[in-house]
Amino acid sequence: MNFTFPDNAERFREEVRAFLAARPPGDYKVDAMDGGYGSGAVSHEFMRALGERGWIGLSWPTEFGGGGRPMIETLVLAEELALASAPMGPLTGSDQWGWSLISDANEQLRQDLLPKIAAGEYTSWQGFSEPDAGSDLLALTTRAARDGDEYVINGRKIWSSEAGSYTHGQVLARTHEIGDGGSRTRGLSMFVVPNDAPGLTLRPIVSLTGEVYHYEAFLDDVRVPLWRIMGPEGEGFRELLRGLDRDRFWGRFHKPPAMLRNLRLLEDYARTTRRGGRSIIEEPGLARRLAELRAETEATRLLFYRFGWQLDNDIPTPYESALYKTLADELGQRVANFAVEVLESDMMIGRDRGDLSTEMRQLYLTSVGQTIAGGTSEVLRTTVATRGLGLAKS
Amino acid sequence: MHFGLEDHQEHLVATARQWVDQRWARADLESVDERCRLWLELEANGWPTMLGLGADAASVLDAVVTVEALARGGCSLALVPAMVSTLIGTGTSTDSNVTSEGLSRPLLVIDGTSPAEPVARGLEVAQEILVARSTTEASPGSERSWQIAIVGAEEKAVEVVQDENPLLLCGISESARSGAEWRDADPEIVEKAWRIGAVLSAAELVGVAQSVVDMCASYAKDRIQGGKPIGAHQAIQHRLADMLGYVERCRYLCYAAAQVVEDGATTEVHQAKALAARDCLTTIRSGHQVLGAIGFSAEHGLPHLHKQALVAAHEFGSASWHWAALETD
Repeated sequence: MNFTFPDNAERFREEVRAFLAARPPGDYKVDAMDGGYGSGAVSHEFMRALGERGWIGLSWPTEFGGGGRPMIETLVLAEELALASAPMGPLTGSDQWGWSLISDANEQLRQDLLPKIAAGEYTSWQGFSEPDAGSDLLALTTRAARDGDEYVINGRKIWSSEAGSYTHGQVLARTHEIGDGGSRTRGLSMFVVPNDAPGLTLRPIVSLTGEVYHYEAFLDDVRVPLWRIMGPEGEGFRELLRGLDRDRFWGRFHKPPAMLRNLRLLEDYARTTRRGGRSIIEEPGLARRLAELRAETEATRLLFYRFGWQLDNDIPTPYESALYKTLADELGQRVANFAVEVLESDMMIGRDRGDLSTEMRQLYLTSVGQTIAGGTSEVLRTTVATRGLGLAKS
Repeated sequence: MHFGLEDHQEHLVATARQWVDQRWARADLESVDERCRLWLELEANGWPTMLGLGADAASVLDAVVTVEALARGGCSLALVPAMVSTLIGTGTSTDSNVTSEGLSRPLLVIDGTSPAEPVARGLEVAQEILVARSTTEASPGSERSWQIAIVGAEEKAVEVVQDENPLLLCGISESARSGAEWRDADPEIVEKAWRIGAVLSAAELVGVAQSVVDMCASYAKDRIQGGKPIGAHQAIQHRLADMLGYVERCRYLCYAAAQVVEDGATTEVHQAKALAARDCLTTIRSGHQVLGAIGFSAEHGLPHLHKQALVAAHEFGSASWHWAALETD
């Protein structure tokens, strides 16, 4: 066991810091809101800047246009960008989309997508959930049928994050009907649908922040060529499971460093701001709660690095992503509550506190949905109990 | 970064598990003589002195995985205080004539104004007791001065504070303390050993809490109520998932602290002990709820594990003490 970063990772960390110092992340044009996951806002300009440095697909094999670098460097990149609150929104999703293509896609799909994903030009949203298929994803009703050399997709997807700002959807649809008693996991297929495909309509859903993060997608006779299927027809369930599992890890890996950054900002504020005749940090119990949140965040950060190490070494992870996502998201909500405690009403009205109150208000409001998105904490606890501890399914 | 056990650590864990399965699980723990025999076996395995053997000394991480494995198997002997007393005894030999060779089954009592309770467990198996006392007011984060003394573990020196076999808590009698030959100890050595003790006691807590998770998961699979295992109910499933999360979170913070404690790290140590003392106890309390009435019966193993964890939570600094240190960090 060794918790020290290897030299190459530390050197790369310095490279990333130099990149961030050369042009502060706040200088890049923002295209879509920060979902509060620690991956910052969406900036296509920033993504292209990462692409120019070969930092999207950093660990992909070189024959697929990747950097061939160790996975630890991808983790360090995500951590440093999160610590700087850089607008890297789609980064880890793009990285993993690429890995899916490398693993399962046909050659034409790879050639069409991989170079532009690596350049920061293409980004993808997930079209999994439906209005009547949330925690029970297998209840989906979207259908895809072959018609000559095309698939015709009909259905409706919802809660697709940043879909209106990204370029392609990963859409799950049923291609084979199941008979009575048949497994619902059979007959599903995953398709890559460009946002400009005729018949695809995206409806923005305004979130409680007043901005748009999620979209509803209507697919009315959307036609895609046969090569836009991921993997063998009818085998999409495996792709779905892997996608969800990866998303829970990569979609939360940057959360602990982002929380450490937020706690540092809140501590600085609490030490330098007086309220009721004393520094805020001197208010009863506040420094203790800060210490507790920081320790829990450090511990959660270690768990995510451990998970990355398990992935990198092909060690099975039957329950870890469910457990660690739950820990990270619930901790994130407590950090957000702490921000309310420190900033009090200033946070709610953004008065005289500039960027900090605005940022923490966003953190607080977006944290509400994070124990729901990507698998509710309730469903995931059941996953931990059944897959991790071997308890019977209810 | 590498999160798996090294080969030699795998061996340490396997040996510890084998010993607890073969010996501890079958021992008559009500008998003090039996506990002394078990202690001699611990010594024969080299565990109490594994940190104090100079060039051949194990790393703190080696000791951590060993302590955790023994605790997970249910062993509640006072291995951690013994390890720390060996460290202090060895480290202070130059100026105090206290050497590890000169100590026979040494166990540690932290006394005086130290943050730990002036009582210790395991003294019934000791022949000599290393008493360390802080001579300065000990507030978290402040520097302390230390004195040490060796006290024979004869009957007149030891006062039984609480007798809940097999967890006997003892103190040193006032007469033994006042009659002891106190020597100034190098505070750097004692503080370092004390910090290592904090990490090791966190490891013990992780081991105990994991054993409670194991115990409760097994019970939840086997216990049938209303025609199905209680573990099929989400209320039980979710409680156990939380328990597992607490333990895993504490484990890796403890391992990370073990790697840096010898370099003088303090923040990592405070975090590891504070979180373990808080979350492992929470896990164990939660285990009582899973097990129901049998879990608070003395005939069941859980109450003993709970008391062991309470002791480990307070040795080498309680959660409150370490959180307070972090507040001033």
